[in-house]
Amino acid sequence: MSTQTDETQTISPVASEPSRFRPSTRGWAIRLVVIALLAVVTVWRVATVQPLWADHISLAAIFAIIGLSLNIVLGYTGQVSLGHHAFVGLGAFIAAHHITERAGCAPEEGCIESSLGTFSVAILLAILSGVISAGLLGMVALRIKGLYLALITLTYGFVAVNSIFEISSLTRGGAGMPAPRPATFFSDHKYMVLCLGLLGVCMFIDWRFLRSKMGRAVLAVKSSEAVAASYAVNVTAYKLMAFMLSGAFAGLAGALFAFRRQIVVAPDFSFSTALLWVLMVVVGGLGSRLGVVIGSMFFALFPFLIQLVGFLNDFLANTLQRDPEELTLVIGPFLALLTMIQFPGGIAEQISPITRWLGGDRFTMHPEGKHHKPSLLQRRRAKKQGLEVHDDAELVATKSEDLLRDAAGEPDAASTQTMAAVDSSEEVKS
Amino acid sequence: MRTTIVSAVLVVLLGLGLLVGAGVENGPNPFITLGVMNGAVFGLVALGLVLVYKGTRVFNFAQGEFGTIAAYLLFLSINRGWPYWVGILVALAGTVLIGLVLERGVIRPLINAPRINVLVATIAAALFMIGMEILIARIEPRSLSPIIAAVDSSGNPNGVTVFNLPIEPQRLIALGVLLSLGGVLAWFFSKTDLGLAVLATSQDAFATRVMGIGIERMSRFIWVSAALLGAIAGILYVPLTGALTPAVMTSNILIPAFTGAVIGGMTSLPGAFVGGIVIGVVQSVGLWAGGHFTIGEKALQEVIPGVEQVTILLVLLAVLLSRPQGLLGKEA
Amino acid sequence: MSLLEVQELSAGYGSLPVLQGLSFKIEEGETAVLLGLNGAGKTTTVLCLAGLIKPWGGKITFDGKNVTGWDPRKLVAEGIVLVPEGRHVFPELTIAQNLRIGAWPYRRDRKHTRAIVEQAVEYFPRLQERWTQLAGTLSGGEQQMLAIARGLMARPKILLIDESSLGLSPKLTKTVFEVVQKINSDGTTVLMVEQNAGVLKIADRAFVMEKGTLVYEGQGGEILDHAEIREAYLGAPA
Repeated sequence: MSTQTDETQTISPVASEPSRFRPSTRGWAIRLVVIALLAVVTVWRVATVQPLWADHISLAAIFAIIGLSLNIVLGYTGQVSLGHHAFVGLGAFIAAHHITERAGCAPEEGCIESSLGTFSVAILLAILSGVISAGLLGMVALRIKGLYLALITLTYGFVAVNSIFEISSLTRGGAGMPAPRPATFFSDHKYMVLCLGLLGVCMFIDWRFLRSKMGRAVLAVKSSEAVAASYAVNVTAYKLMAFMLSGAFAGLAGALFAFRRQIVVAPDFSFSTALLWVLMVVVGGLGSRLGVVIGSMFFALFPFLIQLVGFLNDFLANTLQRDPEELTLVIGPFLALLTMIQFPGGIAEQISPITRWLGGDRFTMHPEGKHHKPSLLQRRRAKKQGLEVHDDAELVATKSEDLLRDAAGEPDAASTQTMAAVDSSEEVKS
Repeated sequence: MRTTIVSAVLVVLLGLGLLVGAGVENGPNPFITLGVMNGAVFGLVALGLVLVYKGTRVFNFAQGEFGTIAAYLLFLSINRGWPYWVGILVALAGTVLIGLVLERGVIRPLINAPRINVLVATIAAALFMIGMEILIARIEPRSLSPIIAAVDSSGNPNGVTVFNLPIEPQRLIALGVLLSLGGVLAWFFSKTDLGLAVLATSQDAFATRVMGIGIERMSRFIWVSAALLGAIAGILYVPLTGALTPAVMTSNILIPAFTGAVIGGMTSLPGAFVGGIVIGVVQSVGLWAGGHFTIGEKALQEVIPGVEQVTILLVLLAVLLSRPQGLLGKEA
Repeated sequence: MSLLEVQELSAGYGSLPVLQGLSFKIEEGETAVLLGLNGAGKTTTVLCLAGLIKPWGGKITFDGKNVTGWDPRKLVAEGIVLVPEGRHVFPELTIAQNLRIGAWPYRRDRKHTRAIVEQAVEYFPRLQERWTQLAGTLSGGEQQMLAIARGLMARPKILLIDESSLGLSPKLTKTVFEVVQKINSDGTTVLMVEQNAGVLKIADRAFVMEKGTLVYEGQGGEILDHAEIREAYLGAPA
């Protein structure tokens, strides 16, 4: 049966499309009310938030932009970047450097507010730095088959920390490079609005990107490079463009990072931070915009949220004498491993009944016509029956691997399709 | 055959380098020697990386942290007053246990998942280990004593002196261990049934199942060996740095080791060995050049800080651009 | 008592059934062949027998033991050895190393293994010529020979050979079939899955499958004479 994989791959599954569920007018009305309520409550809460929390929310928005940036690499192209601390850090230093050294708004000369013009140019320069460095690294890494982007970005991050961030004309050494905000966004509250706004812009760009010809090509490349190439998709070029967009987001996040603290110091961008960023995307749910944003914000706010829980904070501070941020380094990877092994869809999968319902579908974990990852219990049960269960919602379900596995004769969803197709072709023959 | 040629060429180049270096005032020779010694540690970690890559086609980002964990276990044992060799046993056993848990709890459940998932899982595992180190041992640096003290009781240096550079006994031990482990592994993968079965599993897992070989057993073997190699590297390297801090092996060793493994071709054990030494020398010579050469008024390392790290990135890019399959690899 | 007895075997992938109550018997020392169109369940049957797919129901008895649902490791030790479709040789290992992997269950018994290697080389002299060549560099026919030889290393009581003629030239196919016949006459029971009618010349017994069940059973020669079956299941006239 496995010899037919090539031939049957072209036969589409025979299952007929189930008629799509549409809510009634009343159903739509209820959904709209809920959406409006959610929006009003969120806006009201955010608008009246304390300055301290406004600052925390700015950080969350910045993390979310970084998350979207990594999601493009990991969720869309199926590669991984371990040097995002370098992209973000370079963006931050470039932005700060432009304001302080080139536009001449240095605090020691009494300049505490930058002009809106230089501020915008600084942000654009940061974005550009991200695009260029991603382009250069990607040009080498993405031509080679395999996951070498991980290695190259890792080494680049290493160089950034040990070399670029040590160049004193760029970073002013240990004292840090100041980055004064413009008057328009001077208060923490106004700055939070800016960060959230730019996060919205990034989400919009990300959405448009995925809908564009380029986005579809990138997804095609992810599911099977060989097939995409055979349809004349320039595999390397599209992966490279996706990575450059990721670099742009990272550069933007870096600039926002700089103006949040209004001073940039190198230790903010460490190797373990970059790893944590990768993991927050996994926990959020790869490929899911909303999931990634929620996951990233959770990781950003985790230390502050712990402080809200009184007894936990007391326990940490008094009994263990540990910083909540240290706990993030343990909890984060743990959540990521848990996600990968038990809940590959991440947060996005867990909240999917709600998002689907809001989008005008039924409230269910099992959308029609869409495979989902079997639960642990279902797998256990299946294993007892001696079946192997194939995960359909894997991080990156490479179709070609499925084909290989199918060729090897292992039962999985792909061979089910193959068998169905073979059966139907058999009927045609007889 | 190819291994012999490449090694011979590299030895000749090294010899030429030393010869030319002898003619330069404040020349690079001590740095080259030091580079070979550092390269031994890179090579050890690279061996572990190649082992996992051969077996599972995955870059193991947790390889460095095996070493840090082992170093902490050794430190804790010595602190309790146990003899050094007991500490080493505790460190090796503890790290092997972690390797087993990692294989069973993380790698095995992902055995059919795409490779990138496994790669991200090793990243998560590495960060988890770093987090635990910070949480339990705190960030402040500790000092770990070497197997044989660098200076004897009367203040004279132990070990040998090359180009006026005293080489600590620990470095000689590291080089010796690398040489013997490299030999053992090369023998293991070409001459033993278990070694061949591990290779076979990485080439065609289905066929190995058909032949009645349990692939779980192979996976367990690979990860235990990788943990052991990582632990040995950690125990040998950390006393040389002077400071035991969380993530020390990941931030100091993992990246040069990866570059070494890539130079060697990622799948070649002799390649990892040679690549590790090459990268050690390159890094060391970069360090020398940073202090030796000047641009205008300033020393090179003032204009470009961390010249030695930049050289590693440049070497990695150059190798991947020109020969992605490495010096000794058959495939990328 | 038959060497291998399959009773009411059912199996499938996911929720899709492929085998639906398949029963047959193979006697010791014979060459049996499983025929049928694509998707009839032939490969699924041998994968079940080799333990690579767990059956949903039914019973497999081998050499008097109930081996239903056993692990491939135990089945290979028991003497059920599969030569999988598509050869699946280890491409980066030499011929010698491939054979050595084949002898994995008997890795402690070097002496006897050496004798089997000699026998395998006698069956396929070509392998000797390319002894230290990587298996990935061999031609399709040579890979098929290596796959069968590797199967022999595991000391099978019954050798399951899946689609050995696939992609081979008629001449090579004939050679392979002749060697299989020789292996059989040297005492190994053989079950072949084939679409090539030429196999019937060496088969003692033939089973024809359709949609996961047995539709015909007879002597090899009988089917060759049976025009209706020949046309329906073997495509070309023999």
